[in-house]
Amino acid sequence: MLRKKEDKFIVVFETTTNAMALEKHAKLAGSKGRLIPTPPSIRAGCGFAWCSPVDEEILIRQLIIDKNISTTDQVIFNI
Amino acid sequence: MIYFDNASTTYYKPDSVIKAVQDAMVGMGSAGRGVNSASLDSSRIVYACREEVASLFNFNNPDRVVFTANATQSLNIAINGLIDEKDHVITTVMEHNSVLRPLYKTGAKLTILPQDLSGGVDLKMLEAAILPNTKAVICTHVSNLTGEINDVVAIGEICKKHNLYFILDVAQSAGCMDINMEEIQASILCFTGHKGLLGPQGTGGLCVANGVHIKPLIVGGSGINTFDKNHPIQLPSALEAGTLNTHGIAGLLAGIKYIKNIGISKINEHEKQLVKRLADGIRSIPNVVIYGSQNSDSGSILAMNIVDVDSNELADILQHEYDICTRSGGHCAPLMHQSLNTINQGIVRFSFAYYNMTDEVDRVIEVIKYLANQAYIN
Repeated sequence: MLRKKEDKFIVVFETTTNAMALEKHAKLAGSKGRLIPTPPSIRAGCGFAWCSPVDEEILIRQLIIDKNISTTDQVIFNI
Repeated sequence: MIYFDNASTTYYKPDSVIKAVQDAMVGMGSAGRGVNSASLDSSRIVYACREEVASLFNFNNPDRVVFTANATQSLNIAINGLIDEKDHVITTVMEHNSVLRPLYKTGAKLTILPQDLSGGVDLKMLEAAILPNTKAVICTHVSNLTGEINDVVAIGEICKKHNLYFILDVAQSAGCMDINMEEIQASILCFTGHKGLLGPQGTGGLCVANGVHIKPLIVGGSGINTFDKNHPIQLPSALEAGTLNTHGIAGLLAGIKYIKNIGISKINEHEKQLVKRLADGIRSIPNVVIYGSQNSDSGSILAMNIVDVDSNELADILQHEYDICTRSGGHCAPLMHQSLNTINQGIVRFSFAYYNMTDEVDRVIEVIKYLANQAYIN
């Protein structure tokens, strides 16, 4: 283990374009989150995931709805 | 040099475009391939360009803006992904080979409509040509030879009424005139980046309306779902296998911002004035033939000949003796030349951009006057 694990709100996407859309809107909304490589235990492969502090879960979920962003997973994950 | 071959490619690119490409080449990774900062910077530029393209065409879904290398590739993707030999397709004599050759290759039955007196496709003939197995209307917005325009809003209405796909080639109109995808009700817009949008060569794309599912032409690397044997089906990834031309897309983004800053209507007005100035200046010269209906709302193109002078010879004289760049020959528009009876002679095409000036047009008028008089004497 290289980092101390903690709970994060993770969003996984269908496409890179969806990830870029959420990043743009989340940053505009003041989110402290960032894009990370998708944790393999959520989905194997080389895609992007959005990683926010858990207290941003409601904000991010609402942005996803408001901006009509496609996702495949929205989970609290210990990472 | 006077450059009047902008329908082939715009020659002068804004400094902002050149700088954007240079910056991208210096400081960007591969878009959609990893989460390192270089890759993310690249992905952000690509996403910003999708948003700008969508905004330019009043298309509300940047996720369905797909980047390609040019309009030809876009049209191949659209046509091969939707049409097969069982289908009937309606198209027009105004088409470029980038529409015609992919259509011939599908083996689909084609109805090829003539122009009417307005210069666009005859709408009554279009509706009458619809068969039970008609799948799509595929046409250009603006003829790349004469600048004549199709009434794309009316064509879109007919397609909607008969539940047909409407694939529109905007290679000659994007950046030169207002294009409203929602109003046009197009299923797919196919554009290129290096003409009116002032971007680098090797850029282009499609805007794919909701509900339109195109079978991919190529599959491969997508940056996501590595362990799935199938290519992703979601747009834009479904149609963007392989590394994108992010350096070019960065330039395209700058080009679109540049023209939006000037304003499409201002660009359109300027280019129409240049066409009118040239047409008015040479129309009455003996031996000069102008092609097309020359409507007030035609595109940024004027097609002409001097009596029976070989168009390649005239273009060569213009280039080598007067430093005026035009395009002669067939212009990849075989059916238009057949329709105009210019297959053997070809046509000399002058095509304009925002950076062209009235004194350049005046110089051309002066030269054409002289050459037409020489042809008359000879």
